[in-house]
Amino acid sequence: MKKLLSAMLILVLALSALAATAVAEGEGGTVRMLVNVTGGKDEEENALWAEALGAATGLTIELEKPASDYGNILMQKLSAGESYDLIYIDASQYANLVDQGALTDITDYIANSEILSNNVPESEWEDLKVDGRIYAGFNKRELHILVNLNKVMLENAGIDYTQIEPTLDGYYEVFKALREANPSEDFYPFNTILSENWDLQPWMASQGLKGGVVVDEADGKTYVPYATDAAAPVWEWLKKLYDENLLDPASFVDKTTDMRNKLGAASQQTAVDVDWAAWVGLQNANAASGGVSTDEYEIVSLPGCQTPDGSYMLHKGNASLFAIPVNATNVEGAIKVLEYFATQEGGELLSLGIEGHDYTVSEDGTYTLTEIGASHAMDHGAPVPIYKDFVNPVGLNLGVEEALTYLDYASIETIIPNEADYKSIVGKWGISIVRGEVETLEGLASMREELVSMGICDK
Amino acid sequence: MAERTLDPREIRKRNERRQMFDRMRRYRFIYVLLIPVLLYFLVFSYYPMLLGIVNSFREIKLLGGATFVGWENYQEIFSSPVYSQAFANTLIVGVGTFLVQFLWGLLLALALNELRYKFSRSFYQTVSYIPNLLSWSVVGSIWITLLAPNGLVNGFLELFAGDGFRPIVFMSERSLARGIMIFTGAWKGAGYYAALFLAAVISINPTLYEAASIDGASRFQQLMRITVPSLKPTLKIVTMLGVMGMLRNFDQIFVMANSSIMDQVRNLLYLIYNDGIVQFKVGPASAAACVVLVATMVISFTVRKLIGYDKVD
Repeated sequence: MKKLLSAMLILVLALSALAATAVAEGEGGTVRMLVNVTGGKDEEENALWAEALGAATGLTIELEKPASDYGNILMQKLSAGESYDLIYIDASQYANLVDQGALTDITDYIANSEILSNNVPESEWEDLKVDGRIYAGFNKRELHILVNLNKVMLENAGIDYTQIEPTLDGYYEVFKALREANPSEDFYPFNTILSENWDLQPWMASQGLKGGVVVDEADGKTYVPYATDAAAPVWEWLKKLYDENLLDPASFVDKTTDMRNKLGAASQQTAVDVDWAAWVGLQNANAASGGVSTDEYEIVSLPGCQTPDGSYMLHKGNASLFAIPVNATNVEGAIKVLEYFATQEGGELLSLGIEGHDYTVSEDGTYTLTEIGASHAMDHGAPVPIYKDFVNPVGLNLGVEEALTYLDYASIETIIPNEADYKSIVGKWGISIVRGEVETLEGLASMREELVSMGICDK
Repeated sequence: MAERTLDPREIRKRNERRQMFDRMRRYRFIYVLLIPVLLYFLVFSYYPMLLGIVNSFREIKLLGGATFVGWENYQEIFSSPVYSQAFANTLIVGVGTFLVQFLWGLLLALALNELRYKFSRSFYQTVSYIPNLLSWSVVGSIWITLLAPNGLVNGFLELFAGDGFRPIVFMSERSLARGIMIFTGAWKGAGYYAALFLAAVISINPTLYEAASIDGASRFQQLMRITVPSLKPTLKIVTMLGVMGMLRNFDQIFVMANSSIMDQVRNLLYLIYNDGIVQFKVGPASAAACVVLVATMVISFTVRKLIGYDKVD
């Protein structure tokens, strides 16, 4: 009996250990990956995903995907000296880890790889350079933010969205018309995430101001454009919207999820926000899956305000990356995975998912999402893969194609290591200005002062 | 050869030592049983604590060596206005939450004790205890929703204010920020304190109340002269427990804070998380953690002396 119990205990422990790590056998060495958003949606699919990646690359893939608290786990594992060949990181972590000397310089690997050099746009590599060197490859291609609008609500207010004047005044008139058409107390024409201020770029463009930290070419010093006096008209515009009940007061505290829910078909408590291009399609897809027709609800997109020189200015998401830690044991294998991610097939694995599980391909080459695949919304880490010529074989969600036409106006913001402090300071003073607690110029001066004191910029 | 006369104190010491070894031999099985517990604390509590203290004097690269930097990390955090502000916030919100929770829990326990029916007492005790079982993600979300511009609290205010009422965005009001954190913290923990107090209240000898009643004491007099003095040992224990946990509030701030009110509520543990986990600055984060450790020890010892914790009542 004792032996039986012991055997069962060992079996349970062994199964638990196996369940925690999805392993796919291969012959080209083992690549250990610590991932966040990439892979399957559950443990079972993680194993299938790792198996598919292993089969495609000839590697043994060990995939670890913590259920939550990724940043904490990544830090603990790295500081404990645990060895991974690829770790998923965001742009802010990239800056910190490069500063720590924790990442392998892969500049030469990229130069020697035809796939990495040719399949990934050069501009994307440029964005990753730190003192001319590159320390990570890409998980996905980042899209841009732009103005999302409820087309049906606009039409009910007598507005053709293609005719909206791309100025602050033009949008003010739109919000006023929306308010008149929707007097409900729970409805506000516009919502934004002021506390995090990542979605102000389409409005700041009206003054030609770029988000994040910028280098002044005149003296080489860094500054935050949103904190300059030039940004005053936009902050005052936001204050006017707030004063006139056009801006949702919850914008001071709302998180991104709240904003998305309010624009969503189920609630429609706001008609306009600024969100990522992919969310235009996701809102429409969610509405369609809920049985809501496009006559009742449709989200469309616009690039926001024109810049003083008549163009547009949007920003792309900070990169989500795969880096090779300096203690990695299989750098060659890790590079092979990065190469695969930058191909059409790799892109399909990262977006559609696993063939036979998330989608099927008929004899005539038609791709069809399975029920599971449809519920995963073509996102297994990269809704839009990094491969520059990637073609989604299933097609894009409604509205995304239009949103992608504005991609050329987008560029990334400088990577800020202490990004949380930046957002917090700009958000705090911005909200004070919008609430009327401080005069605009006084608030901007305080914003600048605090940004400098926290070492975020020079002036 | 002259015989050495043994000092009586030395003889007593020797005897005590022998007795101690005898007892250890006699109870060796119990000492063996204690080894896993001892190992647990060594591995999971004292080793990390010691490592934290060592790290606070080092500059650490995540995947590289560490260099000794002396007091530099401490200088960095003591010269930082953000840390000073966070230390003040930690104390204000920590002390405030403890005091409100303590009084709330005590009043709740006394009120529950007045209930005559066992069912209603159990019911109200369970209801008041439930928030303590919920995580801060849940409790924070509940209060953020209740205090939202279209939330329940604004709905009530609108009933009184009438037309033209402009909702208050409570979670962005700096003047209310600390108050909200104190209130919600106390709301979550009051039921737990009440359970501790109630356990002590119901164990008070009922004959004391009978005697007081015969002597003509009112309910209030019985409360002040019998109940509260009898609760003294429990009050001391709860005070010590509360004081020791006062500076360890992270989840609440992580869930409920936002840019508007961050300056008022950002505490040391939040900064330690931000420096250590988000920005990988392990040295300064460890130094700040050591400051929290020392501050907790100092406050605990001070309060222990002030309330006469070691005195037998």
